[in-house]
Amino acid sequence: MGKYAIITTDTGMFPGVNGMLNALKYYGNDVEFHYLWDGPKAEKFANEIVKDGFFKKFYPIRLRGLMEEGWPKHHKPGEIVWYTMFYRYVYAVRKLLDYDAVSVFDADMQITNNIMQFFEMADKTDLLFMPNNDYSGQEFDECQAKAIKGAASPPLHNMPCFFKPKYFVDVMEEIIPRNYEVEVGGDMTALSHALLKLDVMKKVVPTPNVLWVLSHYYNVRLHKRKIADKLYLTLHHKGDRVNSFHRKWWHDSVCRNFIHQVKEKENRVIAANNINIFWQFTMFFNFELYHTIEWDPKWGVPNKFVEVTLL
Amino acid sequence: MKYALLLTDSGFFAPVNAMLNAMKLYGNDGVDFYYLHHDDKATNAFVNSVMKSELADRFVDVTINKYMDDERYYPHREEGHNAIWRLKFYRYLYTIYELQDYDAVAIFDADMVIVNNIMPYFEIAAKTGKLLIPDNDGHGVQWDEMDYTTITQGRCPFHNMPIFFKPANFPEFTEIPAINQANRYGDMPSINYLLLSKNMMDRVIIQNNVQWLFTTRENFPLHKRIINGKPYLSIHRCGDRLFSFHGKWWYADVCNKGVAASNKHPQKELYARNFKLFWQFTRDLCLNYYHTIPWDKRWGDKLNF
Repeated sequence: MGKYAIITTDTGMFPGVNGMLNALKYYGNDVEFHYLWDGPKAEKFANEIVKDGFFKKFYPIRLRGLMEEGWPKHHKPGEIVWYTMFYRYVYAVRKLLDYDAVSVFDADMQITNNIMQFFEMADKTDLLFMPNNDYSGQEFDECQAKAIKGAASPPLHNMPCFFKPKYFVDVMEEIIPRNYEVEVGGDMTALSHALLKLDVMKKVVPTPNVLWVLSHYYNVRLHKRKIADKLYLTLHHKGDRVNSFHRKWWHDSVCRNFIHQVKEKENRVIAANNINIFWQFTMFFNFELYHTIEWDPKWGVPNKFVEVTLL
Repeated sequence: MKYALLLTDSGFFAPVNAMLNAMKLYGNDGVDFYYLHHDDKATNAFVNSVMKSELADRFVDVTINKYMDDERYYPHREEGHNAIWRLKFYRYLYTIYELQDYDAVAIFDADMVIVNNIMPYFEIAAKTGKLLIPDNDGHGVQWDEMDYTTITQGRCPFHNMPIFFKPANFPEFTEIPAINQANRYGDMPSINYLLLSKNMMDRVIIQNNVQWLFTTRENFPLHKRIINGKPYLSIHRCGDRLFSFHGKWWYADVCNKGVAASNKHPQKELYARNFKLFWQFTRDLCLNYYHTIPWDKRWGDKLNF
């Protein structure tokens, strides 16, 4: 087994980060977790995790100060939340260069499987694994830089990506300059621009959005399954296991808003089913395993999002 | 790196020819295509035709009749099973005995169609040294809950196709015929039994079913998309692309009966939509690219839905 790490930056999405930490342990993922934080709440959370000790390889790193090392001039000094998104790639290739493989996850992700084989694939090959972005109308093997405009336009989702840092130094260092030059969208846009500029799209292996991101949360009915005494999320009742899903599903207003964005009645039924399951998984990984968090009332009432109104 | 794709065929021709064309069309370059078959008139005519085409360079014709009496290849002759049945087991032995110097080999069924570039998976198999094998979502059993009972009931967590592996790393595959001799369910249960009995799960990389087999056909509406002038199949409009699909969809009757059987299913429209796309892709890849074959009347040429 190689030396593997997940990198997440966070300024306050504790249900996402805590859920991930619990899930990593629950599914037997043997990885380090580099938690790049900013703000007093995140500091408090980091201290709690360290004190609890349930996740041995948890490394909190304060962003402020660290980001100034080699950082281009801030457009808006002080807006650290925006810049943390870009810094995590730089961190991977500057601070974790000797790691065999790393993965960048957003803080609003929930891991739902053992994902070690993806670290291993990134470790043993020189390939970059990252999900298809199925909001984009473009494909990774045909897109042109001029067509990548706006947050949803890149052919690839930026995370979770898996790569061996030493093979992708140039790409990750190119993300911030690309963002300054292109100035549209966020790190997802900048990453696709960097891949195109350096002509390394051919090293990308798109992973299925439906098993990593679930951007279209209303297209296939998900199932919660108990397999070998563990809880899993599967595509339909006998299907492939979902590795992770994306969005702030712990926020009950997010859940309700997204249901109502789905127009077709049959898709709305699927959306209601799936969003309920996302919520349940987030609750499970925050309240029923190794470390629980203090719940913020602004996220809604935990364990009460059971029925969804299908208006 | 040296790669090969291998399949055994006893007369499917349409998907085989579609796969041959798909290898070139989707840029699966530098892969030797091993075609293992019995010595019969129709197959020989197909082989001769391929050998005269621009696809001949990578096409390796293997007539297996000469091996039929070789104890090494057919150690366990099963009464009641014909040569076509034995052919399924032969492909694993051939890979281990004859393709040892390949960095990775992919074994596909002859009733599959490739619809994408699959080169990264050869590389992953070669460099990780592991067996890439897909989840079998038709049977409802997962790998971490399988036991001998589920396997002997024919409920297998892994599909046997397509698999990618480095032959030198898996000498255990020579045991597949003997395992089948004991349970007689076929090569899929035998591979599952092998993985379980030899405790090989740490040598496996699990591939998803949805992009490689699409066993559960009613869950996603597939879409045909043209990208760089090539046809692709993706799950929903901008979604993940399939690598291959499985089933005898070149037979019009199989599609027609499948749609009729789904008549009371709540997702019946998806069955019809997806079957039609499978049918169109197989025909298109078989008939409209580098090497074409006459469409056999037995396969039918009309969908009635």
